[in-house]
Amino acid sequence: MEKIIHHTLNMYKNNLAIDQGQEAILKYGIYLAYTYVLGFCASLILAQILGIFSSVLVLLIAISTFRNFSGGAHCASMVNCIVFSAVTANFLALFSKLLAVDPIGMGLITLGIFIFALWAVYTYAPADTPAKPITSVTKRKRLRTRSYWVLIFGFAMNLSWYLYFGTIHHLIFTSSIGILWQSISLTKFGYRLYNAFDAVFSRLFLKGGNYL
Amino acid sequence: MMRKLLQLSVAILTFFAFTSAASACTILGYQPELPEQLKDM
Repeated sequence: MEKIIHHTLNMYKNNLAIDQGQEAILKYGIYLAYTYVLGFCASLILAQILGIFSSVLVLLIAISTFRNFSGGAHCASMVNCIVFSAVTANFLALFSKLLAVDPIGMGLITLGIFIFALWAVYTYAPADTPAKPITSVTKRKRLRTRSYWVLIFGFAMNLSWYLYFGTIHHLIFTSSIGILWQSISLTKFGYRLYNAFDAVFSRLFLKGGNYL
Repeated sequence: MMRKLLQLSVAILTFFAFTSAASACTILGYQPELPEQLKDM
């Protein structure tokens, strides 16, 4: 991936006049673009094969929106992230389908997720990383407040649908599962989970790995 | 034409970079090292 990003950056440098500062920002943007595009594509292609495209799409939107403000655990590399995102998004969508049976059960689960997510945001959000530390107190407060608003909006959507239709829409329920997963990724357990995946994946697939 | 497309893509990529810098982290599970120019945003 580093080579591809390097080639992409060279294409810009050869055709446009960009200075060192602009180059650094552009390189960061290229990293993000590749991560987003490949991550979403991998998740959605797998979802299409499994027949759960709409659920995975809703899940990714919910996770991304909440993660934007709350932060959370990260994988060690772009490839790890892409694979982990694809696997977890599809697994969670299938898991939500298993749970989406009884409206009362879904309602209670949604309420439980909301309470857990509020606690996770209160305790951990915004959860930063060494690559992008959040040092400003004002910014931390702002991100935390917006995390609460995302939760309130999500829960209000669930509640409104339930009050109007007497049931919980399975896609809205799937978005709650996404909120649950993102809330877990804020916690120490979530960070350990991501680190464990990195360790296993790197061991299996990095050069020198002899398990496959 | 190529130059115009590159300039448009630079605008989009810069948008990604600045929105990411203003947020808590990237929207998927990988966070590249933030460049000095975007720190303290």
